[in-house]
This record gives sequence, structure tokens and C-alpha cells, in this order.
Amino acid sequence: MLELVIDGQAVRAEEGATILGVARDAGIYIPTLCHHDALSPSGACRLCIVEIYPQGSKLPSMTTACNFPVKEEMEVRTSSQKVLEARRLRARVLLAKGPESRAIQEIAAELGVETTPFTLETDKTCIRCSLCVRVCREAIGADALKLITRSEGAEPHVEVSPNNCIGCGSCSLLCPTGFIKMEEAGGQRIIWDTAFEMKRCSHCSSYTTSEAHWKYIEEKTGTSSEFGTVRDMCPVCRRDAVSAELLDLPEHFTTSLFTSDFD
Amino acid sequence: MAVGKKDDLTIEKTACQHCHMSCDVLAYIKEGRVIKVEGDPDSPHNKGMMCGKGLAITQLTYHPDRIHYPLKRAGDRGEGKWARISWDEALGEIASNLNRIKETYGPEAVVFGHGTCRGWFPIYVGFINTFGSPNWYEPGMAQCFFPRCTSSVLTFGGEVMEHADHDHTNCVLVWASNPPNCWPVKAMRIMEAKARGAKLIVADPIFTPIASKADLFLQLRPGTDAALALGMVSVIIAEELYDKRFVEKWTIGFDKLRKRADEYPLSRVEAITQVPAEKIQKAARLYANNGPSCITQCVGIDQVIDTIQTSRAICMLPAITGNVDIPGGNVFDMLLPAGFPDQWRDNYERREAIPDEVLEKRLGFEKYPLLCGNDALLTPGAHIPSIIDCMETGKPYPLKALYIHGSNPLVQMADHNRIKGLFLKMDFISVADLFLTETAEIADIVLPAATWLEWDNVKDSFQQSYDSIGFQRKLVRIGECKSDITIFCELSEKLGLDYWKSEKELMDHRVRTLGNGFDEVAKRGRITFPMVYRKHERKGFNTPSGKIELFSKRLGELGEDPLPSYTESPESPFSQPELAKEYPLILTTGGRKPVYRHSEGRRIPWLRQMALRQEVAIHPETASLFEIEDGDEIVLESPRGQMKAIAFISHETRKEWIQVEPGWEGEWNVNRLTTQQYCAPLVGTYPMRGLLCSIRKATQGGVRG
Amino acid sequence: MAKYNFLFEVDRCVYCHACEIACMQENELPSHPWTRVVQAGPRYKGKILALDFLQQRCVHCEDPFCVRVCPVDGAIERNEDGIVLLYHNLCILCQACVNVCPYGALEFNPDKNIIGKCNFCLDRLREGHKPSCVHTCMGRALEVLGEEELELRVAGKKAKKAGLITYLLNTISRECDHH
Repeated sequence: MLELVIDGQAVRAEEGATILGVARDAGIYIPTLCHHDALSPSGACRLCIVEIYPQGSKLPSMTTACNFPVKEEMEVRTSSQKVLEARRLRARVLLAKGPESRAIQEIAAELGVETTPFTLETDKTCIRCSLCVRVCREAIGADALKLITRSEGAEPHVEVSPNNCIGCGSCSLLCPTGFIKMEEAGGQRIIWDTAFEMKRCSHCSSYTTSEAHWKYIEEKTGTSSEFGTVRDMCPVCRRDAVSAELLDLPEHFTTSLFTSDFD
Repeated sequence: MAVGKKDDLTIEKTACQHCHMSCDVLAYIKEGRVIKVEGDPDSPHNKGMMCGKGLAITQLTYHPDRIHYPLKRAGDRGEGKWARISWDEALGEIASNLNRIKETYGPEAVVFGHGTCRGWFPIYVGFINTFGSPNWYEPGMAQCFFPRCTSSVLTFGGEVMEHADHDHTNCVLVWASNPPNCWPVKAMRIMEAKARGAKLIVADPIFTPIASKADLFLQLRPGTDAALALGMVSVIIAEELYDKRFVEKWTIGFDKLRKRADEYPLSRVEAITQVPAEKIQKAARLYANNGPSCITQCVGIDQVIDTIQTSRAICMLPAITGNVDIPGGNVFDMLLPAGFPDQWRDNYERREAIPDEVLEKRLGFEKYPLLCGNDALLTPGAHIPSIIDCMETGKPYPLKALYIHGSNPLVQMADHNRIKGLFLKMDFISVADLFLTETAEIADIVLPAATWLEWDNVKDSFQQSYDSIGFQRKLVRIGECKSDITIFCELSEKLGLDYWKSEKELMDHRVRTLGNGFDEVAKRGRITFPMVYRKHERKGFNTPSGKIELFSKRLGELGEDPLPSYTESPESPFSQPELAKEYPLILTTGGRKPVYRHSEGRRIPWLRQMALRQEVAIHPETASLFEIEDGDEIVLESPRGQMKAIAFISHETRKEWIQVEPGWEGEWNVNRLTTQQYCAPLVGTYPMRGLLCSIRKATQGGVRG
Repeated sequence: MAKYNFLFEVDRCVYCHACEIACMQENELPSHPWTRVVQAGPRYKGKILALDFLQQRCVHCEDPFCVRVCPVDGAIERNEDGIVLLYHNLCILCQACVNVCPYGALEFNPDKNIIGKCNFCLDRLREGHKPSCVHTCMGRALEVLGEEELELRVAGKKAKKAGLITYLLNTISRECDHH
């Protein structure tokens, strides 16, 4: 355990904890865009910037809270004028890159930023927050995405390995700007310019997820034999199947999902 | 959770106003904003229960489309151009127009309108009477509530038919009512009674959710309720299931009723109602033998061609079986007996403010004495079809202004196409509402009204509870919105009228017998009065004879049948067989959704997602006859006009009829099909249960007109 | 012995949708409530016309597939009371749980960008209150009961159980046909 001060409040923290984690536990809000509790921190969006005074020092420095470990007797200021100015600048940059992003709009509004002096990018753009790369590698385990820099001085961009991608869509739903497009049509899910065949409901013929994602799910759970006939249904038809079983309706029959009958 | 503070939350008691039930509510307030509501679990009235409509109040109160400021028309009428004005200017404009018209044409040239007026009905009428116009209407007067209550007062001397003691009953007869959708507290109590073992009988043209719980379901042809009731009466009398001692001691005219009932043998009733004779017999026996029994009835019986006789016929059931003011029967309310003068009985309506010579000018005065004149047993008002005729012809005098609160007549009144044209010709229209409704859109001035989170009110209407009163409290203020009552008070001042000075003065007066001012009384929450049954044993019934009037001399004097009788709908396959060839289906407008009330609720996202569109149930055989498939867009047509709907194929209806839900705007509005041309005697109801219509797929041509 | 069980008495539901709206209010959802009620019928069972209403929601399985499939440790877990909880801060929206649940009880909510499922209103339970759907239920069809109370309520009646939800069937006698 070590002790530090955040916004004048004395707090205790575990060794190795980040400033963001400790601040949140103490009920102090710090905005984030690229942070996700299930993934490693990246510091890319720089919205979580704070001012720190190392032990005994009067010389402050600025750092991102999400990936900076707390130190004994450090002092942290999360909402000083300097911090807020830095965040506002960052928000203006992000607002130009993702003017339609609800997540960015909300954070900008919190900071009192309504407009941006930078040129608006009309297309949904990548802000290189690397959420997609991290979720694919660390959580899904497919490791299909990489953030690479093609040449010196150029901004990094996301590169996809289509063979590794299973078309689960996590990256698209986590992407704060809508840059990663996922479309579904004609029984295919198209993401990262790759088409995935989709699993089809045996009852209503609607599509659920990509076949590759379904294979991943079954491998992970080993549920094939436990499912019975609902295996190939969409969630809505599964709900109805359960209801039908309850009411002894003839259509939709299934291996029982009920654990006991009380009869 | 107790009322009080928790963290940064304040929890306050109030009462809902989304329907007449007035459920007790806990409102959670954070930083001046109501963030959540739920039913008060300590309430003896709703016991924590609350329906979806009430729960969605936060989405209504904070709805982005609400009108927050007074608006003045800035373009042509209905063009949709508005200018924001101050309250002072808005009320000044209204006052100068109303006073100008009053001086030039007389007060009768100003027509006042309102909607369900939940909790402020007599108070608004008091304002109108003080202004001096005899012409005010409420679509729910002759069309709902008024006929059935009038019949109850004629027969029993009070509104006993409105209150069923579900908590102690053994048999509930739900007649033309849809409690889960429209009367949530009643629905809760019916289901509790049912779970306790009480029997349930439901009479309805449609197999509704409550009908699906019934031990007996009587699926009658729309508009034939009187015949069904008389059929049950005939069984009860013929099989001697009635309460002989009660009938002898407390009723008059039983022998005459017996003779009348003989005219309704089950074979005849079955032919009229399409309910099998055997089921009518079973229902009569169940109701009579499995007592105490109670009846929960509603608007279905108020929209037939002879509303007084229909509801009188149903009154006969408790009257001859003695299910009157006993535990588990139909009961008289306890408000006045307990010494609390509620708004209906405390002369808030100021009847005396209208001089007789002005009253006689009321449209409908001579023809509809039980609705319009001094013979009316409840708050009298004008007759809508007579108003509409007068607007059209200018006879007997011109109508120049419409002043409307909380009502959307262009959606809710019959014969939409005709009335819209007439409304547009008015000199001046003012509407107070929450949104720019179809009616508000054609107004000259629109006033921003308040939701029930924004004003104080005493919930003492006898329709909400027979033995308790609740309190609605002002918790937030939105924009410049004001409660309807505040608007009357402030407008009165501009008009130079002697009316209540403020909402506070009025509310303090209303609770004067309970304590020291509204704030102090309301904080305590709902007040329950101890129930006393068999009140007639002390004072008799409040009728001319002091007894229950099976035979009503008063009706005879008014030129009507003193005994209940059945009249066939003027527009049915039997009364107009030729018209029925072109319009072969029977139309009823009794559809209600649990998430909407009349024309309200369709803008609220939580509610709308539960019922996205105007859906009309069509029996599978009818659907196949008209080559309609599930989900098809269809056009319904009557001699008056056309409307659009989405078909769903269902056994909930019978093949001969379809039921449509009123309240949808635009081309989905069922009132494009209805008419005001037929009117019931005495109260002037225009029937909407049992008209004729046809259906076809929309692909065979869209909606005209 | 489960401390909390949902009891849904099928015959008492009046299809008022209040549970769904209460759920959306409690959990601050614009749409996609975590409990739903659906209508089955009207349909003929022989000569009898039947109409039933059913709750559809997470049943809180003993060995939940969603917990097995979730790629993030602790994002979905079954707590000591058997209640299956999904932590939105740890969820990565991969929808493996949505696709694997045999009850179809998890759903992606596009308006909130979250996966939704019933959490028994655990915060309310802890404060001694009923879940919002139970609290507001018009037909008194829904209840939360301990194991012993549950056994008493279903004794001798037709009931089916899955996880922590028990459906009580045909408790209200309907003797007459509606033909």
C-alpha cells in the first residue's frame, strides 16, 4: 500500500495501480475515450491527461492517467486549469476527426467544447486509439489487427490479417468514431472488406453471426451436444421456443430446457 | 422506500394523473429533475403497482417536442408557423378575443372544450359558467361516463355502478370494459380476487386479455349490450334466482320488469347478440348464485344507440340480486358520507352562474334534457353534434370561437372530415396542450400546459376510488408551462371575472375539512375513509321513491321507456341490409392499448415501441374472404370516409366485426369513418359500437380524402 | 438453496407491458428492456380459445453458457446467490453470449451500445426492495421468493423451472369454452 494525494484528497492505493484506477475508486471522474476496463491501457486518446507532482517536487508534469502507475506521496491534480485546457485542445482535435461520434461529442460537451477550429474530416476516421487492436488481440484472441506505421513521420494505421479475423464485430462496436464499418447483406457480414458467411436461423431464416464466430463460440463452450434443436435458432426464435415448450405448443419442439417440472 | 433523502436523491410522494385511477407514486428527484417514478408500495390504493403509461411520465415531462412557451400563429391557419409570445400577451389576446365575441354575438358564441379533465372537470366547468357560455363540450360526456352514471343515479340515486368492491367479491362481471388497459387498479384487484377463487365473467365483442382469464366469456355483437343484460335478467327472474326479500323491500316496479324481461327470451337474445343461449343462462346463474357479485363496466355501453336504456338494463342485475352496497357488490362511495365534499358535490361547477335565459340557448337543451338541461343529473353541458350542426348552419346563432384545454377533437371526435372543415372556419381558436397536436396545429394561440409532475391537485374524483382520496403535488417546473387551473385563474383576471385567484387558493379550499392548507394535508399522503356498507338501511336510496327504481317514473315523464329496453343500432346488417351489402362488416371503435390513453402517449418512446402502429384484428375467415394477409396495409371504408390500418389475423374478433382503436392521428384515424348523424335519446350519444364498414388491401388504391 | 427466485404465474399476467417499461426506467434504457412479455394466441386448444402471456428473460442458469463463452474474465459471472451478472465496463460487445444463450435472453441494445440482460435489480434487492418489474406488476403475476416459499407456492400445481425462474401454469381455472 502506498499513499498519495489526488485533488487534495489523501488516498491509499495498491502498488502498480494506475492513476485512473485509483482516482475512480476514490470517486474522482477522469474522462476517457480509448480506455476499456478489460483491456490494457494505451494512453492514445490523451483525454485522461492529469498534472502530477512527484514526491516533494514543486515541478509539475503532465501524463495520461490510464497508464501511469501511482507513486508514493505523489500529488495528482485532475481538474486544474492546465489539465482542462489540455483536455479541451485534445477534444477539439478529436471533434474534427470524428464530428459524428456520439462518444466524442459527449466528452467534448462535458468539457464545454462546442466547436473545433480544425478542419472537419467528413468521412468517419480512425483516431488511432487502438481499441480494435487491443480487443482483437487481448480479449478475442484472434490477433487479426495491428497498428503499423508505414513510413517514418506518417501516422500509424490499422492493418488487418483476413485469415485471423473471425468477423465477430467487437472492433466495430467498440470503435468510438464508426470508422470500422460492419455491414450485413445477402447472408454475408462484411467487415474490413472481408465477407463472412453467416449462420442462419433454422426457424425464421434470419441471420445471426458469422459462421467463423459461431465456430469460435462452440469451441470455447463445448456446447454442441447440450443445445438440442435450439442450437441453430436465432435468439428470438429460441425465446419463442422456450415459451412454446412452456405452453405445450406443438410447433417449435425441443429438448427440454427446463431443469425441473415440480409435477 | 420511505419518503425522504438518500444520497443526493429526494423522494417525494405524489399521485399519477395519466388515467382516472390516480395511483399513489414515489418520485425520485435528483438535482431538481424527476429521474424515476414508481408506485408507492405503502399505498392502500395501488400497493406499489403502476402501469406503463404512468411510469413513462419522465419521458412525457421532459419530452423534447413539448411546448414550453405560449405560441401565436405567425402564418396562415394550420401552416405551422409560430411566434413565441409572453403569457401576458397570450392571455391578453385570448381575453380580448373572447370578450369581443361575447359582446358582439353573446357568450354562447364562444364554445369551450375539454378532454377527460382528470381531476379538474367541475373546476373548468365553473370557469366556463363564470364566463357565461352555455356551450361547453367534452367528447367523453355523452360518449362516455355520463350515460352510465346518469342511469345509475336514475335507478339507485347514486353512482353505485361505477364502484365494484373487488376485495370482497365472489364474482366479477366485467362489462364492455378493459381494466388492464384502462383501469389498472381495478385490474389488479380483479386478478387478486380471481387468484382468491372468485369467478370472472366478461362481456365484450373482443377476446381481450381480461376475457382470456374469464370463467365465462360472452362475445356479443357490438352494440347489443342491452339485449344481453335483459336476457340475463329474464333468466334470473324466470329461475327465481333474484333476492326476493331485497326486491320486495328496496325496489319498485319489479312486476313490470318481469313482464319486460318476458319479452327477452333467450332464443331472441341469442339471435340479437350472437351469444349462445346456454352461455347467457350460465352467466346469469353464476352472477346470481355465486354472490356477492359485482359489475365493472365502462365506455362500451356508453357508445350505443340507446345509452340510457343499455346501462339501465345492466343496473337491473345488482338491483334484483341485492348486490347493492354490500361487501363484494357494487357500492356507493364514502367521500360525502365521511364528510368530505369532493369536487363533484361541492359546487365548483357554479351552476347558478348561468342565467336561465342563457342556459336555454345551450345547444341540445331541448332535445337532450339529461345531458344539457336542468334535468341533467350530473354536470350538464352542450351536445356535440348540435354544436357541429350549429357551426355548419349558423343556426340558431353563430359560433365564433373555440377555447380548448387538454383535448384533441380532430382526432377524438366522430366524423373527422366534416368537423375539421368547420373548425377551420372559426374566428378564433385557442388550445392548451402539452404538444402541437392535430387540433393545436389549427389554433391561433397555443398555451403550454403542465404534466402531473408540475402542479398540485386533490385526487378526489369518485372514479379513482370509492373510499379514499390522493394528492398530486408540484415537484418540477418545465419552461413556462402552467397547469390548466392556473391558466383559468390568470385568464379570469384578464377577462375581468370573479373566479379563483390562484391554484393555491383553490387547493387550500378543497382540503379545508382535512387540515390546514394543501401543502400540509398533501404531505401526509392518501387519506382513506372507513367503509360503511348498506347505507340505504339508514337513509333509503336517493331516488324520488327512496327505493331502487326498476321502473323509472322520471324516464316516463321525459317521454322515454320507464323500463329498460333494447334498440337495434341504426346502422347494422339488420337495420340497413342494403347498406350492409356495400359495407358488410360491423365496426366498433372500442380498441384500447395498455400503453395509450385516448390520443395520448404515442409520442413517448417507451410507450410507442410497445404498439408501433394502428393494427386491426381481422378474423381468419374474414381475412381470407377479403384476401388479406397478416401484416398487410389495409383501407377501411364507411359511408363517411376512409382510413388506413395494418391487418393482423386473429381469433380475438369474430368474423362479422372488427374493432379499431381510436386516438391515432392522420390517415390512421378511425374517426374518419364514424358519424354524428345518429343520436341516442335524452343524452344524445352518437353510437360508435356497431356501425358499418368495408375493408380492402391498400394496394387496391390508397386512402382518399 | 437459492435466496432469490422469480415466480411467474402465467395466468395472472394481463399483458400491460408495465414490467418492460419499469425495467427500461430502472436501467436507463431507451429501448430493449431486459424482460419482455409476449402474447401466445388467441389459439384454439380443442374447443377452448386460449390466450396466454409469457415473460421472456434471463433465467440465471446454474451453468450458464454465457459465462463459459465470455472471453473476458469476470465480465459475466454467477454470484453467490446464483444471479448471473454482466458488468458493462468489462464487456467488449463480441456478442458471443447473445449467440450462445439457449434462452435467447441476452440482446445487443443498439441505442445504448451495450449487451442487455436481467440482473434481478440486484441493487434494489440489496436495499430490501423488489425488482422494478415485480414491484409494478399489475396482475401480481411476478414475485421474488426464497426457496421454501417457492416450494410452498408451487406444491401440487403445474410448474416448470429453469434456473432461478419458475413458471406456474394453469393456476386460474377456466371452466368454460369460449367457442
